[in-house]
Amino acid sequence: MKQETGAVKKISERALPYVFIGPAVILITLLAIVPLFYSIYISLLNYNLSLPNTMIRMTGLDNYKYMLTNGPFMKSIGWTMVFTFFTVLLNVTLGMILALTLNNEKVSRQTKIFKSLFILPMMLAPVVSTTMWKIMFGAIYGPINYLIEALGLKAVAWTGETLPAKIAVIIIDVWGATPFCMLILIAALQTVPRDIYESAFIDGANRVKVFFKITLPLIRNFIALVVSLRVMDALKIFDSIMILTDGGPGDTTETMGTMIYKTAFRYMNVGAGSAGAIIFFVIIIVVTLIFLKLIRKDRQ
Amino acid sequence: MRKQNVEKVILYLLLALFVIVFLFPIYWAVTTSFKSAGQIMKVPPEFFPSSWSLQNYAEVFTKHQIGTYFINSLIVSVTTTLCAIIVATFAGYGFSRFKFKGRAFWQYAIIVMRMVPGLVFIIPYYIIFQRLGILDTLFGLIIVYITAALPLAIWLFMGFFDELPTEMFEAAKIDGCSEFGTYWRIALPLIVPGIVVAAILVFLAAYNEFSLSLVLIFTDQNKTLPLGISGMIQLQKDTPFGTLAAAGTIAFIPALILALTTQKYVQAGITAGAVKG
Amino acid sequence: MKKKFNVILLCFLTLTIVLSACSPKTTESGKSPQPEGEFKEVTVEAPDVLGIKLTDLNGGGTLGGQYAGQKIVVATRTGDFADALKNAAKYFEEASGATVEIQSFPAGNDVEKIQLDLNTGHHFDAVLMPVANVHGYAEGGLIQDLQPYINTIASPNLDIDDFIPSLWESYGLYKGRMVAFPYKPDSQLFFYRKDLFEDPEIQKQYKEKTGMDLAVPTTVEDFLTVAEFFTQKSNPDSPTKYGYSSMASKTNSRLIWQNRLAAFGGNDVDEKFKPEFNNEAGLKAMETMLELKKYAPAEWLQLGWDEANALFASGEVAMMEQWPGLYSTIESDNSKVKGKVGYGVTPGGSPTMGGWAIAMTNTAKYPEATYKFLEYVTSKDGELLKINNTMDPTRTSNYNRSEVLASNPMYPALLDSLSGAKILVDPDVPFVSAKLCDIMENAIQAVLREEMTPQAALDEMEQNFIKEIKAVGLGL
Repeated sequence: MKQETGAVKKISERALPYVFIGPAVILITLLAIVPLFYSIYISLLNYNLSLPNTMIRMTGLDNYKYMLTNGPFMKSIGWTMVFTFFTVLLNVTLGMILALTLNNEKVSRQTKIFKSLFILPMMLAPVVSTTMWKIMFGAIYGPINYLIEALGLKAVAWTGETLPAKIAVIIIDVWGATPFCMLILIAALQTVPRDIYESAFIDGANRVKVFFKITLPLIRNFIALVVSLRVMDALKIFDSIMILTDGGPGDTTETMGTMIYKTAFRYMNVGAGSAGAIIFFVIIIVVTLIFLKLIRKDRQ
Repeated sequence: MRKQNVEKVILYLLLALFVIVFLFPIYWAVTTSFKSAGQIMKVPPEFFPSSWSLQNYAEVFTKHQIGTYFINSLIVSVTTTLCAIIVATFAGYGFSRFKFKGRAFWQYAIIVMRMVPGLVFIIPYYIIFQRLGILDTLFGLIIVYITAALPLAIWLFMGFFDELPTEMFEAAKIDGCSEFGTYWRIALPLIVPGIVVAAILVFLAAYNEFSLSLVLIFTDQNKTLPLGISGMIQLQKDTPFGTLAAAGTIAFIPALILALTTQKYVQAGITAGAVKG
Repeated sequence: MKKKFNVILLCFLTLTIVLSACSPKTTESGKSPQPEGEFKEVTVEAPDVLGIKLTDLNGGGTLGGQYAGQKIVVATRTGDFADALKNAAKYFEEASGATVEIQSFPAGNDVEKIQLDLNTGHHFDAVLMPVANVHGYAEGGLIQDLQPYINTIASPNLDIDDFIPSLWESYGLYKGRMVAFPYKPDSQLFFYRKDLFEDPEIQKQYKEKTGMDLAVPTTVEDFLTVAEFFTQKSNPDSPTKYGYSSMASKTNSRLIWQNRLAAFGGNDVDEKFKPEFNNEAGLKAMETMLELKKYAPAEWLQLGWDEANALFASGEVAMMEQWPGLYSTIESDNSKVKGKVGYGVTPGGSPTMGGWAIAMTNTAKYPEATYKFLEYVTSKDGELLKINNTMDPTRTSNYNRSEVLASNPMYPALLDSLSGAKILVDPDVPFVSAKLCDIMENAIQAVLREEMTPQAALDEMEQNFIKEIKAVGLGL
């Protein structure tokens, strides 16, 4: 009897992990991996949505050549990186400050309400918030320029000049994504047991030291998580740019996301757009992995 | 004592500043929803509406089918969240607890999927769903949203499960608990704060998603809120900003309720308790 | 064991749900394109429009419930377009027996969604879209010729000659084939402060300053002189801050140039899709644009639809070129220019046209019923059903009805504009229209920012035009 159970146990034990990850693996394979390969296939085709389907044929790497020699596309890569760097930096820093502030025992009871208030930006549908931001950044009727002028400064050409446009886009993204960072960092801070803090204070360490030497290393993996998630999402920035500037002035605020969208769906060149998306994908992987390697510490 | 007070004041000032910055656009949206068209593009801007009107809200219900969009959005988001959390906690537990062949591969594969630009999926989904006949169905939208939510959720849960001490699991095994029982009765309750965070994120992502619903939905009765509200935006014509803001405010309410009611679960001490015990 | 059983049960449940959704949709029975129902004479009643009684709502007697059991799916943009169609659909369903479903998509995303479906999904029977897109569909073989249906099942009241000729030719015809019915006419209009032009004090001032009589400008020269007079920067006594305004933000700025291009004798492309603007006409149009910049708001390049219109309605601008939609802002309660605005043709006499047309797809399941619907919504009485959704008439006879002409003070200007207009806002080149728009926008924005000289911009535009048009194998 025992031997039988032993044998049965071994098989079911071996299969058990697969049962746990099974549903996820099935969904991801069917609805993520398969479409990805399909898209790679499309990127090798001369597929234009407005042209008759009979004109579709294999063109190998032509689409890739087209995208890589496309000036505005290559330029957008630079701006996308710059944007990502600044917005992630601001997001994580602000998120950390907020998380620390709200996790602080001294004020946590009174500030319970703030936790709910700060995640409000995430709740508003992007179509509504981007429309509101567009109104707020309006050159003549926008409240932001009104406040700036009330302070005695000259109104900013938010959508009219390159630098203000870039800053505006960064502001919108920081506004929208910091709550996300804050939320995860709060959960992260709560995995640090209180007694570690207590013993550190007993040993005479001051706050700043405790934070950098104890807290940070302990939640290192969560920070890696937040940073890489934000990097992935920041690289893909799209909505706010389309609505606020449409890539303008000129093409200076075009990002990879807007460029491949325009190629695929405004100019209907789905083949080239897919090629651009695959190139984009590779860039995202490389950039994210760099960040991950730098920050994350693997367990075991 | 004084140092503590100064600290407190700085803290509160910081919080106040952040509140103003984070809440201003939302305040703007909500006040716009009560303004008539002429009050919206004005100099000086009406930071406090000179007159309040419910006209926009009336229009939202009569001229636009917001009731339908609302219900669709709720159905899709709630179902997505429930299913995604179940599937993701399963998978997170599996990755965290076991060593097995393909573990690293699938971990990386799942995370890498999140790096894929959304555009990649649009045409394949369109073609696949068309062949399966599930275009223009909420079901199609749900399975797509669940899949989209998995990478982040699984990654989060892996992290949370990793934080649980191994002694606890060994103790459970000795007590005769099956793996599934350990998962259900011991591990899950301990990461409830993590589940709440993940649930909020998954719900919001599904609730506010636009691009995929644009591709997969056709008829008015299957539209979700973001798709429905986007329809109010016009090119070369007047966009009814007040009505749009009103629709956005109405859409905002379930998300707000979700955030407010789940706050008490995201509290310190629960994990601390587990470690101590 | 029990737990494992539950897990397995859960798996089966999930699998069942997935499989049940996978079952293919049952194909509709009775796919025959022939009318199924019995023909029964029917009269359809509708509320009067503008005091006009609508009498011909049954296709001139050709509709009588014979299309019962057939379903038509029409795709368009959410908003007034969808609302207008839904309204007409009500009466069409009554008359024909068919069911009409209007599917609408958000502005800004509708073009790609509809193109995707036309290319891949084939769910739509008819589409209502901007003219350049409709012509693109025609070239791509996605919509069908309507002539066979006109020859066989047309209503006796169809009267094709009744359509405004320029609309019929530029919207409905493509390469000589009849591919769509004009649905909504659109043209850039000239809006000016009538009250200022008719003010004797201001007239006196103008005469003193320029030696000429103040009149609503029709030539480009007069346009610039008047604009200068009404701009405070150049004339401190001016009653308005800016003499001229329009939209100049990205995706809208090419209108400023195009509104002059045809006036000087140029065109975006000729019939062979060859660029026709890198010449004196194009250059003069560019120079006019730079001249206008002196009289336009400082924030001109940031002004999109909402802000540009709000500025005009605030009374700070004397003249503006804009789409007819400006009317609702002008006449709103908060507008400072309510009742003070006159309507005319853009100076130069050749404004840019917009316009929408309705066409039938190649894969329409019930082409006869679909054709009848297209004909219905653009018929003499049928097209009045959409007038309250800002969808203006396309038939001369309707503009001849005094009630219609009186209903909107812009109509006389609109009619004149439509007869003088030559260029479409999106170049009428299939497949690459959107790309050509962006090429023009980038160049014109660069000129407005003074980052490029007009000639360099024209050269660049021509080069890129040729490249893109050649890449899709057209003309050249």
